[in-house]
Amino acid sequence: MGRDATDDAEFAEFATAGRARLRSTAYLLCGDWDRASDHVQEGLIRTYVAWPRLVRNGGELAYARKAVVSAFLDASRKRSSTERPAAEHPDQASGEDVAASVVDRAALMAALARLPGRQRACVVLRYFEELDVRETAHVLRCSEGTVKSQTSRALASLRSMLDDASHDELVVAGRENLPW
Amino acid sequence: MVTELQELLRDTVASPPPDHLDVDAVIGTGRRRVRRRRTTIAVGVGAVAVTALVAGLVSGGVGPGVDDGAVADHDKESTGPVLALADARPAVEGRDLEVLATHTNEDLDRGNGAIFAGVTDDGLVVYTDGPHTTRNTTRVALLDPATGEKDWLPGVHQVEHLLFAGTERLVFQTATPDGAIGATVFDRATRTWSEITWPGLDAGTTSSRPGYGEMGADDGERIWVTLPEDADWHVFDLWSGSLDDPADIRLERSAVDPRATPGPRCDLAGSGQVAEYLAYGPVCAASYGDGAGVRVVTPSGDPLVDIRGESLAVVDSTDAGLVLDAYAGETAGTYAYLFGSGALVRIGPGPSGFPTAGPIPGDYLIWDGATNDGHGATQWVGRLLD
Repeated sequence: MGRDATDDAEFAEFATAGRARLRSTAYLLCGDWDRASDHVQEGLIRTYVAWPRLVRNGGELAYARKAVVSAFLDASRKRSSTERPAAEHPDQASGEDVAASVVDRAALMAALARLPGRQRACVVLRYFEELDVRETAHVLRCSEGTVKSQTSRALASLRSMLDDASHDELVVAGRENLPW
Repeated sequence: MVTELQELLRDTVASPPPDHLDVDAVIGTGRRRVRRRRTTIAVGVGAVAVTALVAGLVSGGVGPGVDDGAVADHDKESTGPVLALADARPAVEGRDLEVLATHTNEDLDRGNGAIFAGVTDDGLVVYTDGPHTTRNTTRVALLDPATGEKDWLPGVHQVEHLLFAGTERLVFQTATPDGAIGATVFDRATRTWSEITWPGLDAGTTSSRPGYGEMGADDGERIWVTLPEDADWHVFDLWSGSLDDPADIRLERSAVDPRATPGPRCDLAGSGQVAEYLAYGPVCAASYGDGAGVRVVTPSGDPLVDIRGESLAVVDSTDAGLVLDAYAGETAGTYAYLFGSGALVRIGPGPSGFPTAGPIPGDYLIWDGATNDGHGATQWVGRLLD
């Protein structure tokens, strides 16, 4: 009455196809590609456990995305209670001659890093995953009103940081004082 | 701003470094979380012993002839670190454990039976509500810990313990007025209920035998049941019956004495260990002969830790740690020993004494604690983190 080789093969196909997208989402949430891979791994393990139900009822990708976000939020709580790691951004500006686009990305990641975890999740889910308010609320297990208010605050903060501060300042701030 | 933000987000992840995620490893870990099925029946030590015994017998794993499970000469042999319950720190959620769902029933004394009954193989909490006072029916829901939403299953039914919670079926022990052996099965695909009894087994219980001992359903295909051979209920015959064919019954083993065979044990041959160790997840553990603690060793007999405490017993395990209940004294509570960190943490106020969890898959745990001066209980569903 359990899962069989066909289930595993279908899950492997799903995981292989979806992992890159999930890892991008996780990276935007945590700012570190290695940790993003960890979150995706944990999210996919949780998805595997639920797999027979998901196949029967649909919504595999939505469940996996939710599981990855949960893994990120769980890890954020765990890290905040034990350690404050040094920031590490492979994409971050590394010298004076870096391209402007790289600086923009680094500035964005630094600005995202300064948002509280749930506000960051709202931004990533709404504007990268392109979920609507209801779907975002479902992933984050909160009300639609909370999503709206958190997103509004996050956008205001990002606008302030990206428009009013220089990119260089943001990069430095992000490098030295990432909050997660 | 929004358009710019969307473009910037996409641009930021456009060139990721290589991904080394191993899908096979994901499946391997997922399988471990799924496959380890455990049955915890909180109706007394004897019943637990019988349950462990027959579970092992049905799966063909138990060896005969062990003694009382006490660690011999523990004062002389202790070579691992020693931890005391009094030194345990409170568990930190997110670091030591993950709580997926919790439920409090303030007054189980009044026949208000709303509890977490188990967890399905695909991670849904089986929530049973009933029986209530004089009404013997129970309604059942599947609670998704990820959303907190309950999916109420159709109808109400006269069921007792949850025996099996798979991806395709839920199997409950049927509450029959005459004590006959029966199971109530919910088919998750068709969302329909059915009942089954085994006349051949009932004949055995209604004549010379006054009833039956324990009942289980380890694989969702067959139930097993112990029928007493003697008036004192010391020796049992182990029978099984198909959940799909009431005529398909089998005598699996006769004259089983659970007092002599408490459960799956670790094979420590050649390690120099004297005491009898039982298998708990990836480790072996035995209680001190004086009931003052538990010794934990690796499967090869190397010492891991001695945990000292009054009325202490291992009650559950996962790949991440052991769960222990201390039933008496100032340190009464539920504790976890975490294999990764070697930490001893307190995860609950101590067992409530009410029958609670049934089948639980993978690395899930259900533990409980007394509330309302012992009239009620809080249950937690979660996982230990390593």
